[in-house]
Amino acid sequence: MLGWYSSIFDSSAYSALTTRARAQITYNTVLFLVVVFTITVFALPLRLQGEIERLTYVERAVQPLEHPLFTFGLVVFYLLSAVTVWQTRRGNLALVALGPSVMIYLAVTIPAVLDNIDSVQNGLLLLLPLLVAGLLDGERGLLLFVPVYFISLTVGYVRLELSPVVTVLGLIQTVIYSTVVIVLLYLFIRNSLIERIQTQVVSSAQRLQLANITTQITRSMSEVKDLDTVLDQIVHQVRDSFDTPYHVQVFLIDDNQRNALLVASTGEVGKLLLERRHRLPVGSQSVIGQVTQRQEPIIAQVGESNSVHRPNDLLPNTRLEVAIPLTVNRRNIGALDLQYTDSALFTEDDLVALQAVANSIAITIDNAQLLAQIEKRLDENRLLVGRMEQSQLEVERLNRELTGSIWSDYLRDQSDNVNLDLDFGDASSHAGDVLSTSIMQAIGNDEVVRREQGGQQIVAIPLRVRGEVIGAMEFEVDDDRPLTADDFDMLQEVGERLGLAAENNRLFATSQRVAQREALVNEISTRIQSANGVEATVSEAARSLRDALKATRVSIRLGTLNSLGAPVPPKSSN
Amino acid sequence: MLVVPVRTRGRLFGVVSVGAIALDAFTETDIAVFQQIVNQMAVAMDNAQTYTQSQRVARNKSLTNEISVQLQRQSDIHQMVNLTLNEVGRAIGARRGRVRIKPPQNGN
Repeated sequence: MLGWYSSIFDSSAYSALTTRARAQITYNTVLFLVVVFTITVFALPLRLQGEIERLTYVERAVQPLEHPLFTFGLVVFYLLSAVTVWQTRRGNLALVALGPSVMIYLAVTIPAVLDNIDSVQNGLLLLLPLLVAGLLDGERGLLLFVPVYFISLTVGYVRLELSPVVTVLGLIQTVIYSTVVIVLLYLFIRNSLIERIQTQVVSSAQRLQLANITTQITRSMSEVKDLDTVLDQIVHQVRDSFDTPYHVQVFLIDDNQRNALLVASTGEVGKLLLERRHRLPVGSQSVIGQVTQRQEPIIAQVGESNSVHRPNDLLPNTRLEVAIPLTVNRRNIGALDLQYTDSALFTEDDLVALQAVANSIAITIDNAQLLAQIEKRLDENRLLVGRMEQSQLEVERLNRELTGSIWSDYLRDQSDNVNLDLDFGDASSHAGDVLSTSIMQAIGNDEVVRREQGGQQIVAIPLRVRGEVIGAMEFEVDDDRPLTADDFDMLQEVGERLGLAAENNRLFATSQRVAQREALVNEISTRIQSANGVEATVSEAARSLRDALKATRVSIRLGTLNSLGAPVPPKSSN
Repeated sequence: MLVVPVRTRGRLFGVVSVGAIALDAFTETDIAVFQQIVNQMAVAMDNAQTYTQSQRVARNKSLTNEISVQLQRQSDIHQMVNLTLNEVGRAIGARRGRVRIKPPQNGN
């Protein structure tokens, strides 16, 4: 039945709830009028000029030549009913809001007026469209049908053909009565309008309050990065903004999803509870235990038989406890808990607002936790980068140290002193050993040194191999030949190339030495393998080692540790 | 007296001045011509300097490459040091040149 009703009287074309309700009122009015009209026109005989007619409305309507108005009224009534329902379903409510009134006027009022029905005298049939228009379309409907009503009333009285005195007196009397009804209807409409505006004002105030709290929460989050401080500010803001709860707190579920731990709480009681590290198991018989398990708001009154409220000795004044789950991506992360001293202080509207606040708090907590995670990862990454940089510096240091060490070995193996002094005046050269201040500075600080001394420019350039300074070259130039920036660039580039060439030379010499050693080992190995017998092998080995090492005496002893006490005469090769 | 700065590409080289005994000796045309000549002189000086610098850079690059090629042909570090010191010292007009290699560290 309900399905049939909903399918015909469909109001889904309207998005606003209030418009939907008005559409339903229009449907119901049309349905009511159709039922009443149908019963009336089929069952009741008409009353005409004080006498009971034997014919009903329908019986007159089926005689269109004699009673054209009744035929017209019957057809128009049902037709307009269908049109009104059809247009309301299509979303044109504003267009057909006066439909029921027009239906009544055309089907009932006009036949009554023009056919001298007695109802004109008491004005009921004439007032009916006016009342319906006022109720359904408000002031607009009233404004349209008031003149129609008075015109119809006057015409109806005139057509009754009563004596002039009776006509005037009856008309005045009916006008006075109907004016009272119209004024009362107008006052009713105005009162409804005021109530609606008042509701809207309250609703706007609630929305403003909600927007304020959400803004404050967002501001707290942006201004304070510490989550505990943010939550502390939020619970106080919620308590002060809503005014009705006397205690507000926030619980967060721990990592293993077992307990809801109190993380923010208002007032001195809140401080005590936080110091106690107050917690409640998820799923326990308490408001918080249930809300964290069910993930739906819990409203618990103290003293009810099936209440899950668990009394807290620090909050003895609580009469109502409301808990809203804090969820992020359908994941329950905690609960917002509010306690009231009187159950009447909490309304259903508060629940909607608190749900919105809880959503903001959940997002705030989630963001703060994400931020903390990101910062933690950032710190870890910084630490890793720092370690890597240290490792890299250590590798570079070791590389330079190794290069320096290798070069020290290489230079030690050189038979002659590499240091050189050149005098371009007399084209003489000789091995030098004095380290000038400029050269020491260039080697020690790894930098180009330029200074003036005795009318001369002294320039020292470090020589590098793989970043390690292996020496420096120094030039003395007369002041009358100033060195330009291009000259310095050239000097540094030549210094780099000298270092590179020297390193290549060292590597080549090292490779050659290794190759010679390998060749010698192979040669000795071949000689040893070609000898027959142990004695010949040992003799050949001793001889080869003597040649390779240019030794004057080589001794090889064969035996085990046990035979140390009885020494075997060594095989000697001289 | 006419004094005109010698300037080009935002760089000031100096000033040129000309004097005359008679008052009103220089007409507007004279001033314009003089300005034009000084401008041409500034451009010529700038070009000359740029050319000189380019020549010097080219010479230095050429010398660097030549030294590099010769260094690659050497197999003895003494000869490398000698070659570098000689070539570079002559290029920059040095009176004396010296090379010092860090003494070997003891114990290594």
